[in-house]
Amino acid sequence: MDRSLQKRIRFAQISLMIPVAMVFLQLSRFQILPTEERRQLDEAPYPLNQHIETPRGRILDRNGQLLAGNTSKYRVYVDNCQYYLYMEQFGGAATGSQPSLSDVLAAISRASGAQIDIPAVVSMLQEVDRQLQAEYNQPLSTCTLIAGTTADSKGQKLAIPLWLTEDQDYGLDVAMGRAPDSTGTYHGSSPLLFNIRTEAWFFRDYPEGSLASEVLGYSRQEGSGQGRLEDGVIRYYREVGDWGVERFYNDILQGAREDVSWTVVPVEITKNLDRAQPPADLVLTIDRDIQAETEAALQDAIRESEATRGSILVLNPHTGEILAMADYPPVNLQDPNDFQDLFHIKGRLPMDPQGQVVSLNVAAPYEPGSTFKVLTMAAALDAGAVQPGTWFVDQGGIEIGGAVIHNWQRLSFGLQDMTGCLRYSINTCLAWVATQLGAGPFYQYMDRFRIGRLTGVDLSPEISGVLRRPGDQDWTDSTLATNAYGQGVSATSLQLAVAISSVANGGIMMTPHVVRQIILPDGRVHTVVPVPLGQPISAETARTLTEMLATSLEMEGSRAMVDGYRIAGKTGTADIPPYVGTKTVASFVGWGPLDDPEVLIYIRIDEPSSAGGGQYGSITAAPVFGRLAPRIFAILGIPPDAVRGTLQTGG
Amino acid sequence: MRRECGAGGEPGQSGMATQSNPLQKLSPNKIRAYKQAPWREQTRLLAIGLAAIFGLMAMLGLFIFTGAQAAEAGLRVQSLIRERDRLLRRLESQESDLTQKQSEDWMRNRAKELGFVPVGAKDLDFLSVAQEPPPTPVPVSPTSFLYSGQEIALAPAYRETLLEWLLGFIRPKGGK
Repeated sequence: MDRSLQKRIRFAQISLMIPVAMVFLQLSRFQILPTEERRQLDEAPYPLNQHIETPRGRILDRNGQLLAGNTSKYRVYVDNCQYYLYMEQFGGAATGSQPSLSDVLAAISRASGAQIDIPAVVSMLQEVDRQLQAEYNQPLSTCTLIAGTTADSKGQKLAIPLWLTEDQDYGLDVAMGRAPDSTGTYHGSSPLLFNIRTEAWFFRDYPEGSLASEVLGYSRQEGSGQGRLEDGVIRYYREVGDWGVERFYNDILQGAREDVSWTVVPVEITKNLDRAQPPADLVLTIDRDIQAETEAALQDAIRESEATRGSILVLNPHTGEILAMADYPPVNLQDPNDFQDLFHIKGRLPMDPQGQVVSLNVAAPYEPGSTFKVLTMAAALDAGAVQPGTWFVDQGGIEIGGAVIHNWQRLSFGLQDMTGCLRYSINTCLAWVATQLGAGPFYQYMDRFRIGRLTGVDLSPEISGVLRRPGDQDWTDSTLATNAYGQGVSATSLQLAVAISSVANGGIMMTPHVVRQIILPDGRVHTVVPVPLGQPISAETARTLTEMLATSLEMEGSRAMVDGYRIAGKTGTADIPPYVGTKTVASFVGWGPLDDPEVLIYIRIDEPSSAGGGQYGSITAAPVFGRLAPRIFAILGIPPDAVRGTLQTGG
Repeated sequence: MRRECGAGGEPGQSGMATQSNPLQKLSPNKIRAYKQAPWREQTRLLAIGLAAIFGLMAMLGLFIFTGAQAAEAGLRVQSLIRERDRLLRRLESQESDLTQKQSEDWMRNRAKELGFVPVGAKDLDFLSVAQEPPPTPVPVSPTSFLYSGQEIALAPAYRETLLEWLLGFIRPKGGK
């Protein structure tokens, strides 16, 4: 073989070896000098275990104003916690030893600005570590940090959770060298924070504080914060609604925090479970402005009348949409610690001193008194038992079923037609009207008005009042007489408002509701269609009774009347069982404008001061309507009757 | 066994062959030109072997390289998802903060400070309009796009086979 040939062979060999060497070089580079991404890939378990958290669905008012949203807080963990706890006994960095847990906590507090009771936290974590070692022979490997400790009423030590705000978490990131400071400079990571990590958790937020708290309700997370395996994923908590919309719609609102497995292969990424349980947003029928006006009017009324509690309900009788719903005292949804005390104020009654009520409008039935007369008169007119011009001679008392019925202040009103009976709210007259109608038809009509039955409103809990019927225990003929003027029967403000709305809406009673739209996770909007609940009376009866009630208010010169608008309404004053004190519940129901009622307002003021006749609905509750209704008409853009007539005729 | 062959017939077929047999007159070099020399065969085997190893290593290297790239891309996507989640959290929080700063209570107090008073219906001017303006749509949740129902758009190269790619190349989309 000549030399030139050998050279060529050698050249070919080397040429072929070069790519082989390059492949080896590349493989070596992967192994020996990995990039940061490859290092992460090497360290990451496969498939990755990933926290995913779904925020709870938002709640908005009818104009899109946020009423309930979400915010994030950050929980702090110390990995390798047992080492820092162990170093506690050597005095920590101050004595030249390795850093202890106290040093780490001090560094966290400095970096984040969070207040941490270091000795208390260290003491509690040491105790937990000791218990773990004793029971499971395992040290406390990862500490979930707490802010300090407190003691309950029994002296039991309780942990105060440590939740950082976003700013505090960012401060920690700066100190750990993960984020730049305010000047844009990155700092070297503090060795004390080497084993620190934070995790974001969603929390419910009510930016309007107490506004519409009765409607919204409250959502809290239930669970210990430890993951539990359910349906193939690890869940950390469940969201629970305590009352209101949050409770009724909890299933479609609730978010979750779960552990799932994630792939890192790009073609499989679409299979990753990004959000386990997509929530829906709710758009309420509540109008934020009307709600605020209603709450302000209620607070003024409570203050002026020195009452203990009260409620106002505003609904559209045409659709059943609840525009505003307020009770007093309202709960501040940003401060759940006061909830129980406030519920007790709302629920405390002579018959139930320990009572607790979350919603006066929906879950607190009461004896309504004279506002109930609207239903008695509606039933009698519709059945033809009486006519508006039917005369009744009031002698101040009437005996029915062995019981003598009296009027308020035992007054006698003489000869009155049915409008006069409503104007003077004559108990004896309405008791007589009920006897003219008869027990059977009377209770049939009450059933049609759904008295004693739930309205089906989309709020929870809804509690129905009680209506005793013939055949029930304790029912006598006198029960019919007292029921006729709203005694011996109980109903919630909502039940009464819905029943009476049939008079305002041509005899048709609409299903009350607070949710207007449900915005599904994929953006589709489901609009709630108003559904009739029934037609207890005819349109003619409704028109007749409305006119009678409007006339009676005008004849009385009621303080509920609204300048420029014709309205109809009825006052109510009810004694509180067991009828031994002088305390009353003053109420008023009114609607307008009369030719096309868009607003019905039910007002209830509990235990007003009797000074100046304040215990009566006409003194305490009716003026609230007179102040609130024109504000609502203005917000809704309902012109005064004269203007409306001019606009309708094209003038 | 060495086998030699020439252009003519077999040796010793005729008397003339002794003098006229061209094979006997050929130089050794010319004879070698028609034989596979041992070093040539060895070189060829070596080349084939090296080419096979090269191909194998190249494929292996390519597999490792693309595998690593794919995994890196996956990690990067995850990092982006985390960043997206962080931003969504901020959006949710800021939406809540913004509402708090424009809360009904705050707005009322501010209006009062500025000297505004609640307006009554009698103070308003009402006009008859032919058509009511449509209601303002409710702003969508910051997280709503996560559930839009659309799959993440991956490039076709991630899914299509070579045949599909070739067919697509030959018959461009939209063509007949």
